[in-house]
Amino acid sequence: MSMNYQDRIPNNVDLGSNRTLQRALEHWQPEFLNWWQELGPRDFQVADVYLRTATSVDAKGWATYGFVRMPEYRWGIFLADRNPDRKIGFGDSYGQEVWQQIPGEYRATLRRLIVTQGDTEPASVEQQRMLGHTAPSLYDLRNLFQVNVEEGRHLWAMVYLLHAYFGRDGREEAEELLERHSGDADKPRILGTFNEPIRDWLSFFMFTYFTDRDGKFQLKSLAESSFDPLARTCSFMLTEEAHHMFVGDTGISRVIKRTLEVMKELSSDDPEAIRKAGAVDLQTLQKYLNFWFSSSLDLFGSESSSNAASYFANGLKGRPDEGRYEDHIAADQMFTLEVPDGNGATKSEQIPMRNAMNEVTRGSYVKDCELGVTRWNRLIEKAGYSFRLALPSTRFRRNIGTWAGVPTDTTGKPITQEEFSAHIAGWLPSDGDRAYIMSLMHGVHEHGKMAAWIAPPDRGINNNPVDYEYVKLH
Amino acid sequence: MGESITIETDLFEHREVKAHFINPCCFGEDFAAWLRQELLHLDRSFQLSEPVQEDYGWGFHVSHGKTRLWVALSYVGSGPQEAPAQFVISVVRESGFESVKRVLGSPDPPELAELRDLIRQIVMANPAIKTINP
Repeated sequence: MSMNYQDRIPNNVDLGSNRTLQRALEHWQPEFLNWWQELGPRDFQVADVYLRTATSVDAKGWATYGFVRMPEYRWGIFLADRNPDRKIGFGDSYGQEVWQQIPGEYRATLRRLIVTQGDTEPASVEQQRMLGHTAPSLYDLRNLFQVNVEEGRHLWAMVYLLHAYFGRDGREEAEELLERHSGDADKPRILGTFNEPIRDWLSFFMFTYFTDRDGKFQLKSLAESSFDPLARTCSFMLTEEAHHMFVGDTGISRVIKRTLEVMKELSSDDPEAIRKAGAVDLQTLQKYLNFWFSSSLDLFGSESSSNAASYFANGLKGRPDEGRYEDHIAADQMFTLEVPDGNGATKSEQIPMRNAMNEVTRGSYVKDCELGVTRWNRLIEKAGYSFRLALPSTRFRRNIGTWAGVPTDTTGKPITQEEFSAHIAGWLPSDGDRAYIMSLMHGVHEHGKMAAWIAPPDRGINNNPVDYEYVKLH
Repeated sequence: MGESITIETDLFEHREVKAHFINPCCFGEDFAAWLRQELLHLDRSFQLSEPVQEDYGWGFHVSHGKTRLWVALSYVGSGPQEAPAQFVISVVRESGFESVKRVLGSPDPPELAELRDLIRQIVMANPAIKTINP
């Protein structure tokens, strides 16, 4: 179905044919806009921003670009086209018809899955709301706002499902999505990482590379769901989410590129000298990588999870790209984990494959993260330096799962708490590191200018030049 | 770095961002199709999926018996460029197919090195492709 931009709420779900649902969502819309004004990007609501807006769910051409004031962005409800032949792709009901309505027995579980996913969307907008003030260029400012409005749209995607399929419970959950706030002591966001403040752009790039990539894998898993409207919603969200990871990937590349230029100018790789020259030394970049990667790993949940097993068995949440597996039932397979033995070493533990689904998804995520690290290292290698960035072990600094609270070094080797405390300043950003990064954060909002700690991008957005006026600040 | 091969070439599209690209760096669709065909000619024991678009470029799934691998072709850069393009070819084991998870690293299946060697042979044999880190 084509996208209808004539309705008050743009959609491709024939919203006008269901007046009750339409009215309920039109009632929620002003609450969303109030939330956006209060907790969305601060002080830029009247700026004209060169934004991408989805115009089709067809992969052949799906977006248009134009100047929009953010509160006037056409947030809408867009689901990928329905495949009438789609069958349940995994679990105990493998091969049966997918569900267009929610079976009663899975109602509470699916609601929790949708609320958890939906909660992350406004959370990240709240986390990033002050970043506009310190944007390194208008190009970056525009990218921040593109990410923000699309996270807002992803909230709409989840709220539509709550309203359309969960009745009064769903409407109440949708209200609460706007009542919890990132970092709020009384009503925090559901997942820990989404309560971490993002005060600087290095963290923003790390977040969009590592944490939004967790989002990619969660969406891929939900895009396999037997509940077809959820699967179709998540399929289209993945297309938009790709840009967010692009912002992180290229942002980190540009920070590295600038650092390498400074290293060359100075003929030195001394971190202090690099800092004095106003760039981000690679050691500090590695610490930020360690922080955000390990924080994002927790979002996949525990290595062994009866919830994950139940989601899989019941066809609610699959493995990313489920089609590439041969056994879609996974009832008889075992998975061996290496877990801490409590005495500073490890032991093997066998668990049913279904219980290991979080770990399977986390494994795919780690491989995906590694590809970016390889490209970043290629830049460093090409410049003639031996330093290499690396992902820390999945055991490092975990707060959830079998390795939660177990001190290890960045390679995953168990160490004592004393050793961990002695080395932590070399592994994670210290107060001094954070203060240094913050000292670089000065907004560059002049047309054609770029902050000195980051290189310009190779290309602008939508074939425009890099120095295009992507945000008109008036 | 040992798992990846970096190449430079003008052979594949890297100047025009197609309408179906999900990011402006998503070059490599024709490269993936070409590499896939070359692999099929050279060794028919590998089963190869159709190319798949990812946020960083393109790739395809490879199966050989119980081994599952992923060949990722990631374009180096944020968008189109006039000069020849660099791509990083990564061959990795797919997660979730091995029954044993070893965080400190389990040995790679022999098919991984075999596939990587085949890819290396293919790109090195083509005079229009310069291999930067063989």
